[in-house]
Amino acid sequence: MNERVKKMKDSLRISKYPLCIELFRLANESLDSTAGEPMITRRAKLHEHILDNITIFIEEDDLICGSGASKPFGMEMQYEYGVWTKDEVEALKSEIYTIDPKDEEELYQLNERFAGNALNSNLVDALSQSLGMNDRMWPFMKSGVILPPWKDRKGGSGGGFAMSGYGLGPGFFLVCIDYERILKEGAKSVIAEAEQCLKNLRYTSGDSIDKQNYWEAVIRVFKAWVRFAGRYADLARQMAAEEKDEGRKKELLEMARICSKVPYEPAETFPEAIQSFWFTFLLACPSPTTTAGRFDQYMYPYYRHDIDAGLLTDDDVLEYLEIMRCKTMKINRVSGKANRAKNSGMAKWYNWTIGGVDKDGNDVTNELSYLLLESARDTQLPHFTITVRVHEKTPEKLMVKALDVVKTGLGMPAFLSDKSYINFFLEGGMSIEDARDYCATGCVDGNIPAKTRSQVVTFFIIAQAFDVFMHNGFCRFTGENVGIPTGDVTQMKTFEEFKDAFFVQFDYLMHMAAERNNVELIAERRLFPDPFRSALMKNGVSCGKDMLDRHFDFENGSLLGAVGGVNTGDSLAAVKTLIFDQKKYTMQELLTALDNNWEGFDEMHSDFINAPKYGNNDDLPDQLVSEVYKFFADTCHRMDTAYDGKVTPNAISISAHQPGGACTGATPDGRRSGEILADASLSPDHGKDHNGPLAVLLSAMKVDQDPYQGTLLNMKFHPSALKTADDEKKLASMIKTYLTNGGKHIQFNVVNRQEMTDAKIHPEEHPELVVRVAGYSAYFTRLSGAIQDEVINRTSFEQV
Amino acid sequence: MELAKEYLHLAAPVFNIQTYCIHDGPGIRTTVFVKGCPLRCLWCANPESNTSSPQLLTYREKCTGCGICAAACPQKAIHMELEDEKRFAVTDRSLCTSCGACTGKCPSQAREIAGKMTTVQECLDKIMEDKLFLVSSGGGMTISGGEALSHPDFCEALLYACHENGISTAVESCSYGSRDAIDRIYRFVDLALLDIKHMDSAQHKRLTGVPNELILENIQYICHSLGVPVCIRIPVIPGYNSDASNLEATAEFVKNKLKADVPIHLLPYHRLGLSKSESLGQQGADDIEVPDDSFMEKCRAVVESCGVSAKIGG
Repeated sequence: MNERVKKMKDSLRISKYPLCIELFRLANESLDSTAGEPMITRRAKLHEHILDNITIFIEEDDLICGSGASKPFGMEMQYEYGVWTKDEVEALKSEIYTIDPKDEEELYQLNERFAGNALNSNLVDALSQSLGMNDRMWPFMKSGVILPPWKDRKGGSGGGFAMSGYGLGPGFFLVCIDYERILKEGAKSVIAEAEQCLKNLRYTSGDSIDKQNYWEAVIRVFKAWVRFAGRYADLARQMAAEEKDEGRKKELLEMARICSKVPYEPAETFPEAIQSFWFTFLLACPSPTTTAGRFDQYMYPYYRHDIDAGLLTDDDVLEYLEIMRCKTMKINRVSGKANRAKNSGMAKWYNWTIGGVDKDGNDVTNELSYLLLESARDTQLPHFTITVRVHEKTPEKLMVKALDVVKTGLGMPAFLSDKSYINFFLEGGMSIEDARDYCATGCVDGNIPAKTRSQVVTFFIIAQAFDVFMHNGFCRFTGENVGIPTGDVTQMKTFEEFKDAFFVQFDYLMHMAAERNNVELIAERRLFPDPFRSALMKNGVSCGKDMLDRHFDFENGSLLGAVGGVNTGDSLAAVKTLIFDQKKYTMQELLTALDNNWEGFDEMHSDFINAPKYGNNDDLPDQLVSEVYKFFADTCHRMDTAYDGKVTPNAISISAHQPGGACTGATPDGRRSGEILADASLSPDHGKDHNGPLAVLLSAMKVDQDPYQGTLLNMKFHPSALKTADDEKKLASMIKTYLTNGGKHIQFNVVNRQEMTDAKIHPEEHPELVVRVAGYSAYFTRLSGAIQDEVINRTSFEQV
Repeated sequence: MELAKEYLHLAAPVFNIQTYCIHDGPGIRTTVFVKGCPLRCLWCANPESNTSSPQLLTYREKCTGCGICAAACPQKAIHMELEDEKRFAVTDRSLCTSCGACTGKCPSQAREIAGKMTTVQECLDKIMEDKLFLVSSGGGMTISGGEALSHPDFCEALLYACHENGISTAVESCSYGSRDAIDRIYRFVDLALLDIKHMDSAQHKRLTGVPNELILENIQYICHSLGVPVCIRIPVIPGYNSDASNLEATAEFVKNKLKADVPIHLLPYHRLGLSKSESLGQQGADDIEVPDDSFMEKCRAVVESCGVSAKIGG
């Protein structure tokens, strides 16, 4: 890091994040004055009002304009998704957030003044009317089969959202907008195209007026966006005039020049391109899941141009990338209490994808791919996330560089399989050329830039569905019936009968989850059109429609996320082994033990814990886990979405395995009631893998992952496995082999000091921890206390 | 030299088959550890490999003091002791026959028997599970120990079986064995990882229990007469064999008596083996200093100054 970046990084250490109300005020002012107008017009005017009026500033030493909120580190309270009540604000203040007392007072006044305005309450109303007030759906909404379980009929929005970014929310859709178009053609091309569309418009069809409204909205928003950049140009010029330091003055004048050029005009140099990108990115936020797409690809021409022309060196480029990292660290979000429990902390997924192949299948790794990795290694900042696309010909050098970042303990980059993602899109009918262009949106959800979009509405807790099945449709969490009667399990004669009956219940509950998704899709389509992002989709202007109102080539509107598949497969394996095959216990005994949370059933509990488990390359549990995931995927493909497609299966748990587990009673895999479920979707249950990393991968490779939008496999390594470049090459080979033979995603955590200390105290929870030193491997938990301490002291390094 | 007809059924005492080994030769490897070793190195990292017979290991950190093992022991070799208000199972090694009656009963996996007669077929099955990863990484199977030369029939068969199944092979050995065993084993070995613990025979005997003449002779035989690619490994034990003169002598031996391109791997001493000594109820050498990175770099510089390529680690 150079001095500037070091300073910026140091400034990131703050104790309280300010909540801001400017955007909330501006949005409501606008909504107040546009009542009765078409929604697309209201949203465009609202967006315009924000861009024209929100407070802007340029921070010390910054070279890229645009911060995402009216205060440094700020999060703007959003208007789309729940009102911040006093109770919620107090809860925030008790954590790492703060709010100016005057702002707080004004917030409550705004809440009252605009009580009828907030589009947000419309969404909550829509959900509660269709889901909360519906006698068939209501027990399901509370059951914990999907998250979060509703506590009242008003629904589980759990307070509002506050986020950084100047886009329109709520932003739960995962899309990668067409950054390349803005860089290459500038906002002027979008404005010109919309103007041309208006000129060519003939009132010959039923949607003519809607189209007119849409194009006017696009023009309004893009022009406001250009003015917004102009405000930064003015500010920079004004700051330059007052600046004493000649060096800084020059920088500010250059920033002013750039902001008066982009995003309106095409970018020509790397600094222009990164500024244009950043303005675009800020309007794709607020969303906790905004992606930059294939940044190393569309930025490369500008990098090449400046390097070849001698305008910049790699060090200069690295500085820009590191500044971008620091700036992304300040793009935050926070949600209400209930949601904070679901996605722990200020969870966010700003994903930059690197590597992979071009339309013809050739590797496209370039200098920027390496520089992006270096920016993470060098700054040790966890955001933005970097995702590496891996295929047969990914250079070993890139893999090793990525592992250099992994071993610092940052927990990234993640590695994705080109093969599995491309297959996913091919199965969905996309051309091979389009499929090869995919990128990671969200954490690992694949989307094709400008051509597909998807929304993760909710998580489906398979283990809870299994528990409901075990109790013949009864939910132990709520104490009422939620499923259909699928039979008394004690009367089932064979394992096949048992499993088939489970799948009937599973199918029934999944269909209800799909309904819940649809209600949200319908409401969002009606309430939240977004001209900015819509225009930056493929044919986004010419089609004359908002992106939530379009049918895309790959109709991917709704995802359903599977959680707890491994616990369910392991539970099935234990039931098969101990009840049907060995007949060591009866189903009645099992039910009694589960209902007593294994209390008083120690020996039986130990037998069920020791039953075969997924993650050890043992065919029985692996096949059952595989069957559970196959059934989930097949069922998704049979369910309709409100956007005229089928539900897409997804299997990323984020942190839902914790609240999902909290709702789920004791399960036959030996898990106690309320305990956390297996993490990710293909990671073995915690501490249940005993045969090393390859056995875990071999288990995961038995699951057909291609039909999934994303899957997750988290693996932990002791730093001793990544000490030398040679170690990294071997791990790189392992990753590549997994990802070219059925694996879809893998990422690594490096064991840290706390975990080793914990392993010393709770060896039973860390059986898989292996210490590797030259020519020697040992299970950590089998080392004597003194040697464990020595290992902890010698090998651990804390995250910076 | 015909292999036994039923070579897949040959068995040897194996105390571990470890997957994802990254320091036992090129690529990712599955390492089969055979039990029984003719040397007794003071710093032994795998003391449970010394004898060919099974041995009981106990892990004090995992013991919960429940006493189930004491009740299960037919020899009444286990009793419970109280220390720092915590109960531990203590085993009288003079009574223990390593029968294993206690290990299956222990609810916290705090007791284990090292060494089980394992057939070539069983080893091969385990190795073949990972074939995809072994082959794609340029790795394979390594026999370690203990000492491969102590089990020539089994090792010969296992190495042959690996070759038959497209798995590359390596052997980690102290080279203290008969010429016949060497001839039989090394015809199926793709890489020999051979230890030289000290160049001075008297020192070698003091440190390992045996002199080094046979070892040095065998290494030359493997390298020249059998033409097997060789890699020399020196376990760097500060105060025992890490002095410049010994390192130089080893490098000179490699350069003059082996081949110019034979590399030397310097394996830094570590204390992890001490845990196992404790688990075996034995006293390991606990006065050896662990070399730090700069110490190892110095050792590497000494070897390289003799014109031999050196690498730290396996």
